[in-house]
Amino acid sequence: MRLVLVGLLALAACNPLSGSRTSEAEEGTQAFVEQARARCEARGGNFGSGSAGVVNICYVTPKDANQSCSTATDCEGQCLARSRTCAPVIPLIGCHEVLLENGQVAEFCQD
Amino acid sequence: MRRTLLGTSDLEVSQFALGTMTFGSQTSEADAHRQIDMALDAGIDLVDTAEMYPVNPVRAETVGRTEEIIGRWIAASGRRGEIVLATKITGENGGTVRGGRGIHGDTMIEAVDSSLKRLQTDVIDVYQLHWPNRGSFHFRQHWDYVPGGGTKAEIEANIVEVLEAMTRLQREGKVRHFGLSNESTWGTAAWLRLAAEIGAPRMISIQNEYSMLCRQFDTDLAELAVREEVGLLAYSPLGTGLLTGKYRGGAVPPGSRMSINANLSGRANPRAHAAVEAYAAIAERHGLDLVHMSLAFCAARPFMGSVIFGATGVDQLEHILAGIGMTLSEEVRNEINAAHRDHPMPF
Repeated sequence: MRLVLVGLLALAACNPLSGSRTSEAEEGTQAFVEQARARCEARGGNFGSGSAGVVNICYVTPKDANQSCSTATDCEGQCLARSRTCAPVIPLIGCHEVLLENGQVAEFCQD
Repeated sequence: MRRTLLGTSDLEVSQFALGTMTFGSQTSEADAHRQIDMALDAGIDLVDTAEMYPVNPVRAETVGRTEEIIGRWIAASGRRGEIVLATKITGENGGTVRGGRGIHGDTMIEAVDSSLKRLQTDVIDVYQLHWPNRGSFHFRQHWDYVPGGGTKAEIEANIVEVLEAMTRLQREGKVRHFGLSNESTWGTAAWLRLAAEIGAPRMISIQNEYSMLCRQFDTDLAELAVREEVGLLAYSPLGTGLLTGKYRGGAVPPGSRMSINANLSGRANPRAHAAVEAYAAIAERHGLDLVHMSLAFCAARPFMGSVIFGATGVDQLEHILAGIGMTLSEEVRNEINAAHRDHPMPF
């Protein structure tokens, strides 16, 4: 049986500042975005738009990108089902076949 | 095997690539899988395919069959990580693929997902645009080419729409890099300029026909490729078999491309056969194999990313691999250029 998982990245999750609010910039301002970009890039991330093009996301290459995996527990992010390799990016946007923690294949979609 | 960085990217590929367009038509699945193994053993890791393959002819009912064959090789071998996988989305067509719809934002998203499923993988290394929606002067259309396919504004709007889809696909981790195919100088420059303007992925390669018989790339495109670092992925470096010598003296071997496509899609004509004789004479004079000389000529060009050859059978691939990676002396290169002046643009 194949599971279908659908997710919507909550705004808080998309907010690159969540969990580390040291900025004085007001949310929704350009300064806020630029601070978020700087923080993202400082940790090796790539700051860009999400699928809908309206939310900025900090895309990070995990240390285990493209390494072999057999379940989700083997990866920082998702374990891709066809190649059995850890996803090259976190968060993983769009629809992908992934392996769950129990090794079951599921279609994972996230916007 | 020499390796090159493709375009401005960090993607390293072998200087020769395995073409696959007969996998599933003239080439059986077992032979196709054997060919990929043989190529890898020889240090060739770039495998080039397309959603439309196999050819010839292109049929609606066989679209995707070549990718499925490669997908089964990936699944059975577990060697996905050892190959650089390149495929293509079909441009506007007569209805064989997607009812004729070519390259748009929505079709690109749909086509990538379909290719990934057939290829049984999660990522395409180089995703190429098989030919521009607006048409092109390739496929022997240069003889009566008239630029068409809409106004400049319409063409640029389509490019921007596709660039936005490319951005999304790269962010989703489904495509690493993008390339063009059967493009012109104007078209390539437009893709590069608009990508820079909107912060979209930059094209790293252009797959056009190139061989001793087809040197259209040598002028404007050559300059663009070198200055802008867009590597040429040369297809038909053996002139669809003409430069193997197998059609010399009017021969048409059973099972050859000419046996199913009499004029090699407009390439076989008296001037082309005369040019082949000139190149064969150079090879014979220097004790070279015509196939190996033809491939070595292409590989040495300053704009070359990788040279894509195809083989119908394993025996042909063995022949190619036996001389892969050789280099030509300056004397041979000068004689080839002299023959090119005597036999310019035979098709």
